Amino acid sequence: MAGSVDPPDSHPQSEVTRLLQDWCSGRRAALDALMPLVHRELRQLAASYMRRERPGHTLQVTALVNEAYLKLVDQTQVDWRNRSHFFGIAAQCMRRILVDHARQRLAQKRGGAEAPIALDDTVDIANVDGFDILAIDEALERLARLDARQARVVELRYFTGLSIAETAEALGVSTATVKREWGTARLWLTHALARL
Amino acid sequence: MPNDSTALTAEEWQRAKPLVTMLARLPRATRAEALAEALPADSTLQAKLAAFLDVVDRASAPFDLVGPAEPRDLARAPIEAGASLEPGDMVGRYRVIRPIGAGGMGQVCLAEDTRLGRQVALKEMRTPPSEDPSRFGALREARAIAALEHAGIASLHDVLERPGGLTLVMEYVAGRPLSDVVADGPLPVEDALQITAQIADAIAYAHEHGVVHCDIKPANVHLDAGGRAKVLDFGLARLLAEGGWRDDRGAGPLFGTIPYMAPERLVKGSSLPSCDIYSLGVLLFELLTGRLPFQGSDDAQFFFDALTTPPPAPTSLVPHLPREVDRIVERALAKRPQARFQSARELAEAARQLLASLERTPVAPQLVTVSPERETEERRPRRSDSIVVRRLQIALVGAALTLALTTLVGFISTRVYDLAFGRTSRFNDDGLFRWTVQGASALAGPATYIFIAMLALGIVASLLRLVAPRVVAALASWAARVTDATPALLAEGVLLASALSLSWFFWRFRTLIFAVVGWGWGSGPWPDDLLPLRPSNNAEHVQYRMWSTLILVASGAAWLVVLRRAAARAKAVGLFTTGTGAAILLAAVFLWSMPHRLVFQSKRPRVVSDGQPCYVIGTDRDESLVFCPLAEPPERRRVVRTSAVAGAARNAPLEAVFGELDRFLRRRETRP
Repeated sequence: MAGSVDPPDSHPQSEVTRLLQDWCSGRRAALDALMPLVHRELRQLAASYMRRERPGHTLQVTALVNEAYLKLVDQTQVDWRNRSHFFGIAAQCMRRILVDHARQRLAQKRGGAEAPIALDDTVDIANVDGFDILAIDEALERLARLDARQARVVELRYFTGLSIAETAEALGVSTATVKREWGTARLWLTHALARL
Repeated sequence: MPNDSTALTAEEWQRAKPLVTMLARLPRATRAEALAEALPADSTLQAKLAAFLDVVDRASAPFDLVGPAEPRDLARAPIEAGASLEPGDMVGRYRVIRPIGAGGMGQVCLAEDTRLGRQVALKEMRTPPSEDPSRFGALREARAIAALEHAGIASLHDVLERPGGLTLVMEYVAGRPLSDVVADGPLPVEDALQITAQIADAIAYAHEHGVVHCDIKPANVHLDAGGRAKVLDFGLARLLAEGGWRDDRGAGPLFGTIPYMAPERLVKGSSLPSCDIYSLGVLLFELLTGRLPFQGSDDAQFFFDALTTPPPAPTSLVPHLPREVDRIVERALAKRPQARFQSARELAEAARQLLASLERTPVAPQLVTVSPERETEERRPRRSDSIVVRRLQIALVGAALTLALTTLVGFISTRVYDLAFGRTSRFNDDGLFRWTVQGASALAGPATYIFIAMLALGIVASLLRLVAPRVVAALASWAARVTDATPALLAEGVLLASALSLSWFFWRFRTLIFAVVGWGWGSGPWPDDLLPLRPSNNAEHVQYRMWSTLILVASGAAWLVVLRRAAARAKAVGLFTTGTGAAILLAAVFLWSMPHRLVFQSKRPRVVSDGQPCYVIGTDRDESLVFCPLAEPPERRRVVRTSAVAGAARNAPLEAVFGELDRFLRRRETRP
């Protein structure tokens, strides 16, 4: 049976929910426990998504993260703010998963060792077309050195498909700020990734 | 890649940020001027930004999100053929997560209910252009479906009306479709029965709430992680039909999947509980054997097989299956709805019962591989325990009913005999057992007629099937059409037919009936009214027996059909109709059994009393009741001492009576 159809067993769900609440109410330590759980779930989901899609298909990251959220978090226990915070974590995890995946693919192409998960070739990400994931990752690293918040805005919008309002909620800033940051970050990334 | 000399520092970027968006929109010619104005004191940054914007301008593709940057709300957007739901889209309060399939009627998506925070499945259904869904019965039907609450049914949460169609919000069932499971081959018999019983439970529940599924098939059943079956798309086929939708082939309002459709649904589009029971049978067949019961090479062949040919027995395809599954499948797949299980509940029970008898076996079949032969030897006797008990129960009830009927027939014909000969209870040595014997002897002849008639009918039917199969199919569909009328209408038809045929019978044999009854009453002109009973009239007696048997059997069978049909649909036939029907049946039984003992009687001793020939009708210790046909009415029956009648010859009374009568009549004629 594929990973995506296993129902979430109640234990991680209640644990993720509790950790998420703790973190949202200010306990920073909860995040350290939360990250591996979210990361594991997203990794499993991503693998099943990629298995399901035919080669050449785009990976619906937004769908993936939404599904992970529904699976991991007990909806009766959290309010809408927790959702944005969850996505804040998921964005980082997703970025790491996708970058790892891209690196493995690169290694395979160069005749390197067999990758731990056999993934179909050429899985693109639906949110942004035509850019190399590794280049984006590298550009985001550089952007983070210039402006950490801007890099976070891109991460959230690009790797989880959060809307402006949800991004604002996840970062605790106004929507106007997010709009502004997103606009300039796009210019910066266009510049950084430009193929002339 | 920009080189390091043009790279911006963090501090520079912070200063540039408020300006770049505005500057990027300006035409290149005016940009230098604007830069100088915005950053008057910093020529380095001016140069870096100019280079930066130059690169942005020349970039082959800007960095941006694909698709709408903000979630679309499609609650008011029309449902169109080309427009599909994308991840992130909102339909009212539902956020689309991802598409999970395209059904025959439209797109299906996994979505999140943002208010209640649960996963749902969104199903889009397009109406034909210019048709408003609320005008049709679709919403009414949707309400009935939404009222279903059962662990085995994926609920309908909500219906959103959108221009051009409806969006149904249904419970999302994370699990494996049964069609995937069955694609891997047949299931172990226990699993197949368990799953079928679960589905049948859910369907029985829905039927009890007036909702018919109409499209049961493995693809519409999902198994959750615990292996529990959940039925999807309940009532959608009906809902679509009510809404006046057309399916993708543009064909009429018949929705569903052809190989799973019951004959009556194929022929005239019925959407009755019996159709679901048939589909369940196909599903069980498929789970057990891994294939469909009818696999016609083309549509015409499939239709023909589905309407006329019995399905193959599952054990003929998978030899190690227990024989009892054949019976369940055969009953569920009967061509006539009346011959099927009369409710999904009944089917579930049959499956459970078989399952229980299988589970009593010490060896679990999935764990140990048993060769088919060993399995048959070792397991079958244990498996059928409960079935044997059930069959025994049925046999006992059947035997009791037959005995009761036989005794009733014997009782009636004996009472008529008593009345005719004036035998009182004092001389009546017949007990309950004797009635039964009389009844059995009365039934033996007609039972032979019926057996021969059925045999002949069966041979004719088989020949017809061989020679003119289309005629048989047409007849079968016609019969299905007739018996599919409402039970009340059907009952009235049967009532009329049996009343008419019984009236005709009464008119046709009135002289014979009056002779028997009139004799019993002891009135009327004597002896001429007895003439129809003469042995020389035997052909007429046989006719009487044949026609009364035919009417009784035909109307009895018709009533059985009507009552079973009414029970299957849980509809009342009407007290008056039932009462009148029962009265007519009873009258038919009475007319049929009346003359038996009188006309075909055992032998009785003949004596001479007062110089007249008399016949012993009954004895009580040392007294006998004798019947003297030639005496006047008061003396015709008299009591004599048994010693006076000893050593008499044995005669059949009626024949003897008529022997005397003939002599008497001859004497009367020869007298001037």
